[in-house]
Amino acid sequence: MNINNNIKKTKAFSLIEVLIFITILSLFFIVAVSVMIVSLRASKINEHKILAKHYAEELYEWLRAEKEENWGGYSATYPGSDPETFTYKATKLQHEYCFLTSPIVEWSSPANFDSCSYSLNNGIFRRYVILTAASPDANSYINEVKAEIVVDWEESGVTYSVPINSTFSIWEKIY
Amino acid sequence: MKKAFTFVEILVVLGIVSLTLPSLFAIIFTIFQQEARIYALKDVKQQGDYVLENIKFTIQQKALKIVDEDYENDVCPLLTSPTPTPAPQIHIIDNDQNTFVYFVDAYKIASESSIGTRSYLTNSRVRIENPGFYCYKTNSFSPSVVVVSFDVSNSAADITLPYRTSFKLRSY
Repeated sequence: MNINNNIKKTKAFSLIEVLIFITILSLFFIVAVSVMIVSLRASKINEHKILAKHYAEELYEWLRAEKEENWGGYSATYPGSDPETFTYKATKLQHEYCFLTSPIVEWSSPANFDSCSYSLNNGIFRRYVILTAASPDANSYINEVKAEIVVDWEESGVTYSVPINSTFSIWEKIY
Repeated sequence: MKKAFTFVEILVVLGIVSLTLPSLFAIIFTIFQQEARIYALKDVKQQGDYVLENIKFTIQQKALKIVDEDYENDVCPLLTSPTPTPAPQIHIIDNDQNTFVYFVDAYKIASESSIGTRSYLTNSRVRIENPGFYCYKTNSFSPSVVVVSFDVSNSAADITLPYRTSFKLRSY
């Protein structure tokens, strides 16, 4: 009879083995979770981009309608110029307008876009347009207005923006 | 001697697994939910853009005048205040005296013309709500201004995008 058979031999993991295993496992989880967080954040940004695009197009569509219905043709300094016309708005001293409601109802009062607050869609976006008339001097007929529409928002410290640049022009001169 | 895990070992393993798996699945689930939301939003925007462009282009380029249900009388009044009440459908006559109509049928935008059958511009994944069409003239010689507005929504994802445009008829 072999005596050695009676010696109880306990098999077990050593501390080092356990530590290595835990380290590898936790590294795997950390990497997996961070990848997921990055992808979640990217998809949130994409969602906001789609919305911002819609808001920018909404403003473009609204401005185009304003242009088509009430172009005017004379600058704000031209005597007797109608303050509701498109060219009047585009040549007013501060020709920047903030649009913080959707759908858009009316022109806001002109103000520098820096003062535009992030209050569109529960405080995520801000939307403004900078209008520039091609010939802003007081007496000539204006037949072209440049519009720079910007929708921007901040997300985890980065500012994203969706711009639309366009030129509104009138073919037929209305006397 | 029979080799086996002890009860405590199994408990510890089960404990770890039950802590990590749910949190992992929760994150994966959130990602899938977010993807579904983006898909729904994209769908709503795509169909809304398409309908708006389609209606705008067709009416602006083709319409001779906007008429009543019997295709007889021009319905665009001279600009009055307040603005006319929007109707849920719009009837049009084009240069060749063909008639067509845009309306909402079972939450889908439909168009029907005198030379074709009814066709739908949106599918049942999205709902068209609050359709409103009206028109007016700034003076009796000027082209009619047509105003089109509607909301496109996906109720499951709680998304609603408002659409609105107005334009002058070109071939009046």
